[in-house]
Amino acid sequence: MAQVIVSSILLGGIYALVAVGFNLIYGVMDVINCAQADMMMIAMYVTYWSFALYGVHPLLAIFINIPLFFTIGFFAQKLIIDRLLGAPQFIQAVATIGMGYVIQNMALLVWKEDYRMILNPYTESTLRFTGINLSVPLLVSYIGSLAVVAALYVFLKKTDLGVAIRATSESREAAALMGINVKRVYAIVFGVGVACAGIAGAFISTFYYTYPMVGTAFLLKMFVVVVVGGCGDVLASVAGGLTIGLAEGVGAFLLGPSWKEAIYQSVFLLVLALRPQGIFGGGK
Amino acid sequence: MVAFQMSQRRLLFIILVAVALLLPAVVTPFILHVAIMVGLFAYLGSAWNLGCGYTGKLSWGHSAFMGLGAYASTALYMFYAVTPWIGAIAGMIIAAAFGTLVGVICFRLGLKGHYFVIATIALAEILRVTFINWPVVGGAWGLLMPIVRDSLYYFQFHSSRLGYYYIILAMLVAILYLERRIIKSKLGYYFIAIKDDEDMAESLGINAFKYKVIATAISAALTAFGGTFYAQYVLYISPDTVMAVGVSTEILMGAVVGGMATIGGPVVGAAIIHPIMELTRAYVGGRGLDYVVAGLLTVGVAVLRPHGVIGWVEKTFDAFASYLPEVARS
Repeated sequence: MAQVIVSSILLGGIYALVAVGFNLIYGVMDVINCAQADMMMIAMYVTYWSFALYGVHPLLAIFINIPLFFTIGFFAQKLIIDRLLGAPQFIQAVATIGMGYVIQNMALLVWKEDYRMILNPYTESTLRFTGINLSVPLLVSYIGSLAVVAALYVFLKKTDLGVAIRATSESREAAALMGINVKRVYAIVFGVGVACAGIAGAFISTFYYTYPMVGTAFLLKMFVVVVVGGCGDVLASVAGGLTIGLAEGVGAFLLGPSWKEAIYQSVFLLVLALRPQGIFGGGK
Repeated sequence: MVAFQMSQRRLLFIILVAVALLLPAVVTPFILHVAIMVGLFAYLGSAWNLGCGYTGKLSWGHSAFMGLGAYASTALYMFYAVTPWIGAIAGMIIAAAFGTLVGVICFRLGLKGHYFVIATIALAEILRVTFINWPVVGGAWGLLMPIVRDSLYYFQFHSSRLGYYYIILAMLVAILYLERRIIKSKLGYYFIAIKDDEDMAESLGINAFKYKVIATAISAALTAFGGTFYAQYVLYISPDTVMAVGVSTEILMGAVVGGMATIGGPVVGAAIIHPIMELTRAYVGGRGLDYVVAGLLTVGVAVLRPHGVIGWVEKTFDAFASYLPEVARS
């Protein structure tokens, strides 16, 4: 049981990172980016192929993914998302689902359905600590994820750009009146959000399979983590991630692994019923 | 002038149905298959539209209702040898009950916008996982329908797909007729009033909660019938093929591309997306390319025509129709 709780918490920390980019985009732009998880899938492939072809350590691939995915996000906003901002919310969601379809099935077309796994001494190492087996890549990913979320929090709170982003999130019009270039802020937010998916992809590929459909499961989890934690709040994603990680891990241990999707979805509905603003959120 | 245009549209509808009736005489079996898929998704999109498009309560969990319909008729046939037609009715009742449950949960909680959308996904996922863990209905493997000789009673046609084609055509025409009747009735006006402004509708004495639940239940029952058709056509169902989130996406995609809250929208949408997907699958090949094309199409329509292509289709038709009398005169 202790083993289960520890690994659920570790996984929960990573869910927090997976959801934080999604949450940032949602909080600032009010756009549900359903393609987020598929961007993460591409990041997993970039990490995998950098390792398989050039022997790049998966953790170093993070430094390839950050600029790469920031650029992708930046231009995705400029070229596509910006034109959707006037459309009804539901249409935006369907359009980003369409983007996800394109990305996912391109991956299927190019890389087929094979499950790929990075195997090297790092990804296979475990650590034994007071009777609990810890997977080293999972532990490192957990610490890394929380560090990225913390860095994002500091960035939003302390830097000028961060203040501009938060101002835009509160009122688009007021921010524009204060001389903030809203379009530019949106492009940066989308870039940062997608870069978070890039980092998450690099971490996840060290302990999980890479395959074209890997995004689907993570997309549903993103929704749930964001709502359970609290929409539009970066730190709330951590609360949401840990809650869902624990619910899923402990639930699967008690009821059997085939129930785990139903368990976290039930937790999600429960939170919606009891505390719709999220466990941590102040409401939006 | 308006009445004149309406009768022109009715004429167009009759012409289209006549063409559809005669279509099998001139096409290959493959094209007939494409036409059946268009019919099925036009039907499912219309069922979704009736409950969701008009009330603005956009469910992303309709795969649950489709799955219930498919499972009810298949299981009743396999375990009790009940004809799938009776099974379809049982499925509709079960789906309506589940739809009522979904409606009561979501609307009692006052879920709106994104929250409602995600909650419907959550409920559909819970149902899917329940079926995966239910050995009686085959668990994750699903159910394989035993093949019998061609018969309307058993809802199976193997020597030719004609039977399936005419059944789905009848279902489509029936749902479009029903949709029109509902939309022109008091019930339809309530739905639209709720979509436009729920508080305003409440203040006029419309019990919004009640009518939202009714809309969901009707839509669920109709979707379940589509599920039975799917099960009889493909003869194999599993939680991941009839209850997955991707199925819900496919159902609503046609309605979104065509145009929500319009009668013709889901039909036009399905008639655009599915032929392109089926033809890509058959002639270009490459697993996944069909969905790449569908995705590009969806993004394109959302960017260029966020209210669907139906407006453009109607404008073209009306322009054409008003041009016709002049041609006739000259």
